[in-house]
Amino acid sequence: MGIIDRFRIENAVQTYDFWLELRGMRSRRRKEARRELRTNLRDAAADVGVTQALFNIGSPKELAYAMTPEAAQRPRWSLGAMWASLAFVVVVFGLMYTASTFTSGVDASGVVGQQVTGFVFPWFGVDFMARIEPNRGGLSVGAGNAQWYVLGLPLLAFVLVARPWRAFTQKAS
Amino acid sequence: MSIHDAQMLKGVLALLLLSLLADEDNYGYGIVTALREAGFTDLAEGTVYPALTRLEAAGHLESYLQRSASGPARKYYRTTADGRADLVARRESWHDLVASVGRVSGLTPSVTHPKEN
Repeated sequence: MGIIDRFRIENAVQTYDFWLELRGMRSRRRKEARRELRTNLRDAAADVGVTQALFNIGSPKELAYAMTPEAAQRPRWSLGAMWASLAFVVVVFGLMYTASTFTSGVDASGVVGQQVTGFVFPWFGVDFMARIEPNRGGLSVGAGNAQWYVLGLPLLAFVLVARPWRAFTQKAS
Repeated sequence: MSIHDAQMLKGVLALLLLSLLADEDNYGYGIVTALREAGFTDLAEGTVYPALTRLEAAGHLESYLQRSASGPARKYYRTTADGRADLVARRESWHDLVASVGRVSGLTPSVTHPKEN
């Protein structure tokens, strides 16, 4: 079996594993499920070819759902991490964009040689600062107390999506 | 190639799997192949594998790993005592269904009831 065929099988196996995890299957059982699917796919590929073997299992997502008719009530760590990462990117981008806009406003107002501090909606509690040096001699930009947004919002997203309290309330599955 | 009604097939899939595994231990793709050789050519792996998992979760099947000559270890299934009891019940149920359908539709069942043997 060539590298590309192995990659296609592994891609299907990992997609299947991803959805099994989202359905709350424990890692030890997922390892067994991955191994079983990989072995079956390789045997089927040797028999009918990789394309037909992958076609016959259908969508790895649907297969994972069929394997887990009732999703276990476990924390969804991966999904939580994904949403936390997304929230982090959005917050950092939003802060940088706002700071840039604030600086442009200070520049347009013609205030030079002194630090200007202000509030920009909706960043409550964040102090945006900008200083434009005379004769276009440079600028400095800052955002005080932004750590609450940079760390807090991704953490909040992680907790709400991952639901870690399930680790304490779940039954053994 | 025979085409079976998907819903009908789903209803008897557990019976087919338990019957096959009562005769001989087998692994996922091996079971699919055996079913296809028996005429279920339209049965996809995506239907069989979850059914095996459900039967194992219900305690009707148990599994073990066995190394294969061609590569990594395969997960083989075999019936448990519960599975064999369930198979008997499912066979009874199947024969009752065939007999009832036969009476209503006028078709004569071509299978022999195990009680009659």
